[in-house]
Amino acid sequence: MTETIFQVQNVVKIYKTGAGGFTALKGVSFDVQKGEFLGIIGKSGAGKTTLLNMLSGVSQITSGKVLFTPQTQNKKNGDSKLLSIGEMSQDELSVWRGHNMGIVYQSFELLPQLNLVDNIMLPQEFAGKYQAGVSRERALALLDIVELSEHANKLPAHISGGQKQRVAIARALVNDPSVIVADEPTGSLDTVTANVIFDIFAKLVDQGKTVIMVTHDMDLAERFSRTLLISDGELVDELHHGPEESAVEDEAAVPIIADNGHTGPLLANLQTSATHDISKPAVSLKQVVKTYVNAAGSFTALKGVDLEIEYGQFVAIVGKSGSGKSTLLNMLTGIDHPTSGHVEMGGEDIYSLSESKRALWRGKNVGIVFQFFQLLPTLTLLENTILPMDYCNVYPYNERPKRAMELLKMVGLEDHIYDLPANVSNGQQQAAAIARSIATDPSIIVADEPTGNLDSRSADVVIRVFQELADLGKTILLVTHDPSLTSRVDRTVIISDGEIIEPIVASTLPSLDHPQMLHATHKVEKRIYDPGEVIIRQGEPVDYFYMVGDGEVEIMGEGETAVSTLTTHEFFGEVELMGKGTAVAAVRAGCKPTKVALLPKDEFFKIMNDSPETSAQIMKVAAERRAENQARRQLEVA
Amino acid sequence: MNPKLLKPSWRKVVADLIGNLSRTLLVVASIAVGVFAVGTIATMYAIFREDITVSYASAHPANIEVITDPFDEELVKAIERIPGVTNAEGRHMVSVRVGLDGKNWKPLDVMTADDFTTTEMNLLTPISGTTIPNDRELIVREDPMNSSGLQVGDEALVQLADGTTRSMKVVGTVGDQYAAGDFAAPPRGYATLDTAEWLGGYNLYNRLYVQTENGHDEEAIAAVLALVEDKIERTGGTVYQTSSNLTTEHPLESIVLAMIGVLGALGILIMLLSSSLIINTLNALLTQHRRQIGVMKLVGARSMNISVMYIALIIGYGIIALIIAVPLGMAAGYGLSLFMGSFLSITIQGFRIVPVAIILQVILAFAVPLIAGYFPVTKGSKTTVRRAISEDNPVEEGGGTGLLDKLGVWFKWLSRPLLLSIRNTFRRKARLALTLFTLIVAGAIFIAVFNVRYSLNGFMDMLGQHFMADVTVAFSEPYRTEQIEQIAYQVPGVEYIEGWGGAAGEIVDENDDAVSNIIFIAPPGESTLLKADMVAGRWLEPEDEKALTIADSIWQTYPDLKPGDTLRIDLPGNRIEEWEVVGIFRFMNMLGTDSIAYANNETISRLTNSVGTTASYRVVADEETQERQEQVSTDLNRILREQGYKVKNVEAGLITRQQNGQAMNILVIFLLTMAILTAVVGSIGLMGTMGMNVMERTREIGVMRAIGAVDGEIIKSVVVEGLMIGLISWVVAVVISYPISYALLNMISTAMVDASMPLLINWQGFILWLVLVIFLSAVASVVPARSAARLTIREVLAYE
Repeated sequence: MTETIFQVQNVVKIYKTGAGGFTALKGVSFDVQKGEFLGIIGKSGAGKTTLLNMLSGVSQITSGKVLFTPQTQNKKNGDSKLLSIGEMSQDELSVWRGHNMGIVYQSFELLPQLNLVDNIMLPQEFAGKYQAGVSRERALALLDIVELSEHANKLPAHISGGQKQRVAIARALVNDPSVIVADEPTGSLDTVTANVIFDIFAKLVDQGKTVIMVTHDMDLAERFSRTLLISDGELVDELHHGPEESAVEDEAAVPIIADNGHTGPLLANLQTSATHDISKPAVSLKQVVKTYVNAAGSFTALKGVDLEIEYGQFVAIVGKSGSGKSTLLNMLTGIDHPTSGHVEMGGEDIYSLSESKRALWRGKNVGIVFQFFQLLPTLTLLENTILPMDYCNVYPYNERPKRAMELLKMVGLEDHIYDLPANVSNGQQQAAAIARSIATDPSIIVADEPTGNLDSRSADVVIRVFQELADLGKTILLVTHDPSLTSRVDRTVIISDGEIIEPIVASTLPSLDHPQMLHATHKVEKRIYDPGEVIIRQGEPVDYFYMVGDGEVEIMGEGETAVSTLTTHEFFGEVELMGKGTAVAAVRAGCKPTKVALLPKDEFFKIMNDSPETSAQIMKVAAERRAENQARRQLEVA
Repeated sequence: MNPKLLKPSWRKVVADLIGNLSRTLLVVASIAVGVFAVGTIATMYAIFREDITVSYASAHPANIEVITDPFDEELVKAIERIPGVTNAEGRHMVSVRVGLDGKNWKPLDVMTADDFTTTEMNLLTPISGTTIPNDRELIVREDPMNSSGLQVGDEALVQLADGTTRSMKVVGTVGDQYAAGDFAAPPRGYATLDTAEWLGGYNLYNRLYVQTENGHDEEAIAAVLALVEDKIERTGGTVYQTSSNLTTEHPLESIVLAMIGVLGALGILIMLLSSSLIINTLNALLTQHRRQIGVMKLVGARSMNISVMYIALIIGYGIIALIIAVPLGMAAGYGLSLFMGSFLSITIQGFRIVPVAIILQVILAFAVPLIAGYFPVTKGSKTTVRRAISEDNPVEEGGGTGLLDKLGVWFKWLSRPLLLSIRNTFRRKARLALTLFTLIVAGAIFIAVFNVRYSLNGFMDMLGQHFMADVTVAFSEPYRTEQIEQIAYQVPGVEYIEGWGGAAGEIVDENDDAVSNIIFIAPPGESTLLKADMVAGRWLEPEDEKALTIADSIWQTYPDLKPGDTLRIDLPGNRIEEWEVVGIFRFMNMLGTDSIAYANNETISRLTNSVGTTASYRVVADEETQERQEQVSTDLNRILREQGYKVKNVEAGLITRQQNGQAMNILVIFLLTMAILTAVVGSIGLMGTMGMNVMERTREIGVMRAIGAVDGEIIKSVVVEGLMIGLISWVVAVVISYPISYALLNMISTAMVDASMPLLINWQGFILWLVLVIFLSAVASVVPARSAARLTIREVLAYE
């Protein structure tokens, strides 16, 4: 019989903001059983971190209760007194956490001045359990468990992010707590390291600990013993529903960014002009490498990236945390220097400019929208929007306020132009940030996780704004870890572990995870076939799995007539590879040059083996095609 | 100590102390400046207080000095037989002029004695050479403020009153503590009594020095003085002037100690100013460590654990500051004591540790930062975990709708970048207030020092109005005024000459006992060479008979004296009479208890039987330049001596003014040193504040660069902020400087010169501080601004 360790009863959390109040949790109730590996999954802004803060006593509960069952029982009485987290003082909470809870955050939270052993021993000291030799031995033992004992005397700055996270886990365990809570513990790590971390948590669960982990990554759901989905401050416990389907629709809720009841375009009145040279691409990266060197060693975030983006495209750059997408963004915006390679924006070699000139170029040519808005807090929304025009000296001085007002009005902020950022909501701040980003009418707009801190409705409006900007000819580069946004863009660039995934692979086999796509990227061979060129002859051995990129291919029937046409995102050769190995029909390029990616058969079988979803998808298509072939033969015979 | 034995939290404290050297240096410097200042002054005070007494007593000073008619050893022996007298000596003072090149002459008072080997009072302190001159050899007193310019081995040319020139070898330099008190007196030399005649004097004494049994008792000394005077008068001699001293009280002791006290007050003020720096820096430290505090609370630390750690850190800062400030303070205190001692011929006993000064420094080094750090540490330790680990910057959370936040809405005409800078100035209001407090007080003190200096100079100029002649001629005996005038008018450059009378007497009480000496100066009634600054009553009129105007130092003896009152005056050769005080003028009393008074020339010359004759003349030259004055002095001296007149001294007025200003200059040097220290504290405060402001706005600066701000814009925004702080502080400092100037001048004038000096305001201090504060603001801003402009903006965006 499992024991309940946490009881969360109708917890509400309202944050007081300058804009009034924001309800982050709307009456959440659930229990946590001892020994569970509980995952709480939701998008950014869903309320999962707030929920974790309620459990750990970091934030005060507005209403409701969080009850904790201590694991050391009062043997005389035979029962343990429930602790109400919300009724404890700050110091009581600190002591309770020190004895009962280990906490692991995304950003490691190690004290930079102390070496690893001291960082681990710190909770013991605060819990009054410190004994010089004994505590040190325990710390070393924990470091051994997380395989870092050889780094015991190093400072945090001298180890990698993944190693820091392991140290944080070791610290969380030093007082042998019954509960471990982790907030996005793998968020800043590459996939391999993230897996290592996850395995450690799984082992702790096996050892009887209760682990509660918060993450935005739905892919991790299957690794938990139980998963709670949270969206807009409410729990949804149906795991198979996607977050966008299971989001609670509140018809009465007022969107934080007002769309002013527009049914038409929001930016209908935006004045813009094309000032760029369309003969050159908006973005051109050639073999860009970025390596970071610090005390912990060197880490290559970008490994020879080639990327070209034309003007007017709405491009999503997607990748998991640690994939290198933000580093890529830094290269595009001139914020950071590539270690090697060439970056051109609008035909300009931006890294041949001085820092100062690059700042000016950036202000005129690139609008940046940050995840955390980054409005200057002492300027009003209007002044924030005017500021780039001042710095870049664009538009006559007297026209700048007028233009800024127009822009703010377009994003629904005409009633807030004289407000300071602290006095408006997150969504309104992001709207203002978007207005600021287009103040100098730049050709390129780069947005880094612009919806990361917004509720779903506000996020939707933001994406609409970007879509309209793209329709107006702006080049939009949207960096996100949310794959659901890809359906709303012209093009998706997927980055994984510092490399761009071959678009043909990504679009043809979307069910592969990013490491699998990257592996396939390394293995594919790209060919361009001339119009009408034969790709496969009937009866010949088929050694590749073919993925169609640009162009189309024709499947030839008897009499050299095309019986079907395959276009971008489609594939062929799977029937042969899974069957007798010889081509059942001839395939040739269509009436224009066709780009095809060829995956060797052993790699094909590997992905079929490694990705059940992809395998199912391919097998389904193969079955359909076999059935079609059979039907066609029967017809011919008839 | 094995670091492994330290608990992790203590290791964090040590790491915080040595890990961020610039911050540690800032806090330590803030503490050390104040502790050093206080320690220096306390050490100096203790050393001086002890050594001035010991040194003075070791010179066996006379308790009584009497200037009288020439006398011999017989009178000396008679004086020695007076009850209460333990020792009596006679000396002869002869006034000559001395020079090295025969052209540039300086007055020299040569004190001659029978036998320097047997003298038992007013002992000389050997500095170089010998203290025992042979006949026709000269020893000179080393006096940095009034140097004769002579060194051992020089062949000094000595010009006698009659113009004769002698050559004397300088065989020694000495200190003379007894003579150190009279700043206005000429340089002094020493020779044998036999040499006096050779120098134009005579082989008799004209100065009597007496030591009494109860040299520590003013009343006992006064009683013996009365007996001595009586004895002299009964032998037919005239007592011209007397003075008395305690054996263990240097004449300038109270003035010097008072001055050190004034500096000590400034030192305490510096300590208080530095506390505001400490508050700012600790606030910034706790803000910077906010996240770490949150992490510690997350893993079990209570508020008390946090407080203890940061209090320990503060104590660590205090210890480092002590290690720096204590030895420096001891050295500086000793050094300053030596410096002051050299002016007063005081022998400083040697370097020593002053326990009281160290205890005071220890208390201040811990108490001040702990008190200053109390609120930042309390506030920091009570930070909630959520707030501590939140991404939100509390500054941004605080951006509200306050008055200052609406500046831009009012001043729409200002450019946005400029508006940003102005608003940033007022963002951290508490930090701004502390920084402004430091700068304002530092600036006000700085300006006040210049005002005080100007006032002191003004006072000296005012005193100079009493001596407006271009050249002063003093003879050894009175001569007929018409004769001297006739000769003088033949000297090129002499435009006008007038004879001034004089007399020395005593103010006596109802019992005819001497209360103080009084020196009468008697210019001609129509003289324009004198302009006194009257504080009460009126100046003399021609019909005034027994009337006088007197210096305001008389109020020390007669606090209620006002115009119309009378004083009983005893002039030699006359009976004691009541004189009416018609006016009281502002003057400086650095001459002990002597009072300066003016009376009509006719009255004084009649009472001194010197009608139509006088020994003192004032000459006006046709040009008021030092060169002209010196040329007229030289020519007058030559011509008068050639014609057989016994010239005691001829001196240019501007040189006299310079010499009298020396004492003030020393005081001003000390005050300026303190002013510079306060300016240093102010600039440390401003640099610290600007550094912290820029550091906290790293992210914003990154955003500015991301939206197009070039390096110049970044630097400009920070520099404007710094300049705003500097200029605001200047405006308020100007206002505050008025009462501070007044208080400082009042302290000095009361402590040093027993006179009320009028406060004169001078633009120099205001302009200089304005320039300094603009410079400091710019430098304090540019350095962090340039670093900020070079910051990468990578950290603005999330990155791996």
